[in-house]
Amino acid sequence: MSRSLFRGLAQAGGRAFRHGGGNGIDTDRQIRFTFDGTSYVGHPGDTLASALLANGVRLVGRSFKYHRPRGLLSAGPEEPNALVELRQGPWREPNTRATVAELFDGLVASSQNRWPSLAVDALGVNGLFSPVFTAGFYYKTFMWPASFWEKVYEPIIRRAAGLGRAAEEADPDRYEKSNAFCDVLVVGAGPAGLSAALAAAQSGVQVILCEQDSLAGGRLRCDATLIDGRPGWMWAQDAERRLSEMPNVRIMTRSCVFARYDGGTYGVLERVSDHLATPQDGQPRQRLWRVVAKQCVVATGGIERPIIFPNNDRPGIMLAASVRTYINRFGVVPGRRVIVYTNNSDGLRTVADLQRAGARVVAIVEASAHPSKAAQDLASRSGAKLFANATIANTFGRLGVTAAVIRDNYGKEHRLGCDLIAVSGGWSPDIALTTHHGTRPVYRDDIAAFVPAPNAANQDLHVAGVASGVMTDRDAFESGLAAGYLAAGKTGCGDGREQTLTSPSVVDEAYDIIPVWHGLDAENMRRAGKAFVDFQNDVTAKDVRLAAQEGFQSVEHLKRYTTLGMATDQGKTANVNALALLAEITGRTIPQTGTTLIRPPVQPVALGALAGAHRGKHFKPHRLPPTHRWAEEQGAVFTDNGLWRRAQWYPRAGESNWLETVNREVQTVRNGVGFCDVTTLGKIDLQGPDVRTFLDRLYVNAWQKLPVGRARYGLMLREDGFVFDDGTTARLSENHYVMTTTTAKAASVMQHLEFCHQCLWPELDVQFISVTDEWAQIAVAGPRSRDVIRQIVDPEFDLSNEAFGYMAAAEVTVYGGINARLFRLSFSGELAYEIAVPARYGDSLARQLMRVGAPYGIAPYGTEALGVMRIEKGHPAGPELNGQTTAHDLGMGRMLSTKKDFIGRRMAQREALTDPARATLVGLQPLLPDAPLVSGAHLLPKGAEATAASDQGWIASSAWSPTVGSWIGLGFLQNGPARLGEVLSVHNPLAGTVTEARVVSSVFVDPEGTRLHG
Amino acid sequence: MRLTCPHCGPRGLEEFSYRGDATVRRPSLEAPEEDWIAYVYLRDNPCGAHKELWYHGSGCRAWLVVERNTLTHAVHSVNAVSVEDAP
Amino acid sequence: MAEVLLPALPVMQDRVTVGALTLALLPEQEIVSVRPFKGHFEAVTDTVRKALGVMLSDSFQEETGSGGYAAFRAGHNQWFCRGPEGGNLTARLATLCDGRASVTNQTDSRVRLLLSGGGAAAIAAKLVPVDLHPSGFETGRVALTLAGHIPVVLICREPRLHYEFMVFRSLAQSLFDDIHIAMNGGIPNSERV
Repeated sequence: MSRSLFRGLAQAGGRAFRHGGGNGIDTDRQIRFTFDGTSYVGHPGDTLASALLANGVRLVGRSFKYHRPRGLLSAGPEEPNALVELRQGPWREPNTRATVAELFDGLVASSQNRWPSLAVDALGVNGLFSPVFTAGFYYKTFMWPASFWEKVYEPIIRRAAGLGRAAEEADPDRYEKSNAFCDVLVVGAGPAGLSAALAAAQSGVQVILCEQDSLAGGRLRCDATLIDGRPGWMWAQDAERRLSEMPNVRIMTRSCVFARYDGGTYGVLERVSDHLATPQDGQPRQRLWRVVAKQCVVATGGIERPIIFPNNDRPGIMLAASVRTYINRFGVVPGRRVIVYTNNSDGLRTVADLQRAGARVVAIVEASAHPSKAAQDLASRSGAKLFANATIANTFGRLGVTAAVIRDNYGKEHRLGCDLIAVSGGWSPDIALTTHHGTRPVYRDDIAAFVPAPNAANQDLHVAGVASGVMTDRDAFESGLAAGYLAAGKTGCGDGREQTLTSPSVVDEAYDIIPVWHGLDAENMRRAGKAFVDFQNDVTAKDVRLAAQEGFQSVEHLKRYTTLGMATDQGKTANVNALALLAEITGRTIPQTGTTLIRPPVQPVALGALAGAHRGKHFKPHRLPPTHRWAEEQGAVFTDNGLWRRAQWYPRAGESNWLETVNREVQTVRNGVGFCDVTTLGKIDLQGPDVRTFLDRLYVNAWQKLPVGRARYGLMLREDGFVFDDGTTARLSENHYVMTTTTAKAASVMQHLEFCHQCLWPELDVQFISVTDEWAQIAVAGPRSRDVIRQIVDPEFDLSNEAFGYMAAAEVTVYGGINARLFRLSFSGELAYEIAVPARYGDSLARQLMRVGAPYGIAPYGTEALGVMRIEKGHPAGPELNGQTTAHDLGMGRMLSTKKDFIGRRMAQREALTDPARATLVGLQPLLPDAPLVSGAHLLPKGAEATAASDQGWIASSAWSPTVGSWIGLGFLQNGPARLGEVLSVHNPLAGTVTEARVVSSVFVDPEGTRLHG
Repeated sequence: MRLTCPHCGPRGLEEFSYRGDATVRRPSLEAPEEDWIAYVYLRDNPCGAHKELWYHGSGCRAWLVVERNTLTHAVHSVNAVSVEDAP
Repeated sequence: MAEVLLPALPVMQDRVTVGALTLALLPEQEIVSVRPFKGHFEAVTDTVRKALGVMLSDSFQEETGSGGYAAFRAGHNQWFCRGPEGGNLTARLATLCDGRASVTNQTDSRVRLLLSGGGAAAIAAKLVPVDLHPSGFETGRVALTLAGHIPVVLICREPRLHYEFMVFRSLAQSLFDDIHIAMNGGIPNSERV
């Protein structure tokens, strides 16, 4: 049939190829859609593929490498050819299979990988250069010269190959995740899956039935089979209704079980609103389910294979069962003059369906040596020519098949006009889920297919229907019921009801197949006519032969060398054929040649679905300190410290940049008083008679003699001797302590404490709990801090320096009886306190501090000023406690007690960890005060060349110090303490700069510590 | 992967963190350095049965000994380390 | 400004409604962690039972007594006792336990949110990876788990309809937002409400 005739039919309102009603569509209603700018009409229930076929559109895409015209091969998720772009703008989604895209009113779809148009594709000439694109072309063609790769080859390949275009804006759709639990998960709602679900449900267990399609029924919707004397789809509809009425069953349609993980965990992708023009308010586009099931029945059916023959990829060459699907489910007859080519009995079913739909079957080509009885009957009824022991030797038609050459039993060739070739190379059970745990399938000669290994049905997995290798409807029902009852029984959750379900009555024929994989002979293997094995990756029989010749004889190598089985379809229609071909070429049996295991996902899963709701500002949770809202009111600028969101600085009107703000905050503390929310530091409440001993073993220093009412600095190592964390621990009463950790390590320290207590020293009678969120803790620092604190704390508490000196700790009350804790701790080096109140009062405390501190010029300070002041005081923090430094490196080597065991003690004694030549903490000050020091810069001997050999250390932290009036830094330098006064070269390889800095004490401000004792 | 916490019941992997071999024992302070090196750094990598420590950090915060097969991923037993958990 | 400290709400809104679903901040109540020391489990259990009328149960099932007191297991060798505001529960329990248990106030550490309405279980299931089926998670059941990435104590108040989330105060706003988003996402079609 000529193209012009197709066009004419297409214009007849989308009815041209619609032969009547299909069991899955609503012909009473019409919906409009466009494809490549042309407007068409379809019906609810159509897929984009069925609607295009109904409108006579056969050409839907161009192939990956050769830009050959391609049409629909299948009617399901296995589709390799019909990849299209759906929707527009930020909603544009490339590489969507037209066969699973449900039609909705207003759908805009376009073809991809073509320029300027589908019918006239300038890059179709790639076919002429096809020798370049043979097996291993990536590895061979572009080897030399290397410099050509980036500049020439890659851009050309990227333009010519590649498929659809990703949207250029952020995905505007919403996604979400959910969890579901059941006793029995049934995957697939075909005859076997519905039976299994009915059986399991009758047993009284909780059942989830997942069907990737929008409708239940599986092949009962595709075939004209009669079940209990009625069309099979009616039985399916009835079964679905019965299931939906049972309280212990949950039916999830449009839900693909894409992965089987450990422990009975399954990944399921639900397409919530892909079938709608726009999701309802707030509704996600897709929902990612984690289903946990005690038992699982896999009833995923099968995937029909094509047969490999020259030019087997033209539009109009389609899988035989897919032809039946278009006829029976969608009411579309995909051609008028049809050749049916099959190596099995199932393919012959297509003849009767085509006839009933008004198409003419011009020839039946059987691969079997003798014509089957069924084929003879069909041929005589339909008037089709019957060829046995025959092959299709070639096809013709530029943008769609128009004729085929049949080579008969005697080698004679017959050219017949046709617009559709229905091909069946037999069925492969869809075993993907059964191999996700690494269980290899086994090959069965009688059905020429791989089936799940018997031991794949290990304790929680049962396979039923075609997926298990039973090929008739009767067997599908029976195996489904058996699997359902078995799975339910194994859960031990059933109610022991009688198993009363039986299979419906069905007239079935046995499935016969002869293992013919291709219509090639030695001669036409060499001919130019490409015989495709993998349509999506444009891998031909010749490529497979070439790969084998070049030594890539393992299937894994074949895959990587030829790209066979890759990309969105993962070789669903290609893998077994390729394996069979490779077996034949290498003179091995199929089992000897092997098979590849299938990894998750079974079908493509959008990254958006994996992210779920965790994107944008909800990417991760935020921990907000108690003063957060107040800080927002103050106009604070925030920074993220792990999950915590902390005020970084508090800009004031008239301040032109952040540095001005930070300098002002530092000076406010150094000269008056400031405050900072330090709730984020981890706080752990420890109680029990053995807390002291516990602390002794956690920290490097001694804790036995810490009096009640005092705090002490402590350093923790890891067992390998490197520094883990630091902080202070205060003793509140005889057996009650409160420990602080750094903000970053709070959770790790908690886990460490639990490990030490539960696993190492369970004999210690200690209990601890995080109180980080219980207390709003605010540092009040500066020479006037006592004046401020005095007005907060109730008057009966003596806060004089004598009564409450440096490192004092006490439980006090504030504002007339509110429980609080007061610590005389200082990170800034000034006279300072940390005051903790119940978290609900944190916000109010900040407001009160502003009020009572106003006469002293109080101001809040953020993490930046906090950082500047701790660098000025040489206190190590995150950049110094980076997991690679030792107590010796930090100048705290002498803190390590020699009188007790503690975590890390033994390993810390190793020579290499205390070697004086190790890089050790020093202060650094540039010779020019305004020359910035940059964290991460390398320290070199003065004037040394910037090489690894001369590298002697690094800068860990740096800041502009308004107190010193210079940039200052903390760094680690080999033999550091011995080099005070030395001038170094500071090399910043990122900026390519070298500056000079002097080694100084790491304490820049008040080295005697007089201020904090004030 | 799922573990059945003896306190909380069956839970997904995301609630747990892994530590490794549960059979290593912290040497005494006086033990030879080789023992310490072995304790801190050296681990077997068995193909098959393995006893390992897991922490139910997002649940009851108990440390658990999990007997697991590294080849088949089968989990044979999960028990709390702490004696307090077996009242 | 008054010279007093005023409590602040831990979340910006105390209630949102989406269709039949409501998420609400629950009023403060006293929450106290009790962890018996070695050899004192029975004595502490006895003390708590006499004081509050509730057992320290081994299972994750909240025990409720009269006077608004309740207790549930909150970890290994740990129980949370709850009672009405103003009862000075921490001090009372500390005195009664008399060194036989660590007693720690958690009142301000934890914020309670209540998700209510038809489909509440389906919304909770989007966040919490625990089977909420009423056959296993009935009234009073407690799960220490995660809601998305946020550690929570989930308590069933009424199967399918009412679930209480107990969350660290600093994470309350994030959890509130996450539940709100889940509510907006709707109840899955396959869910039986």
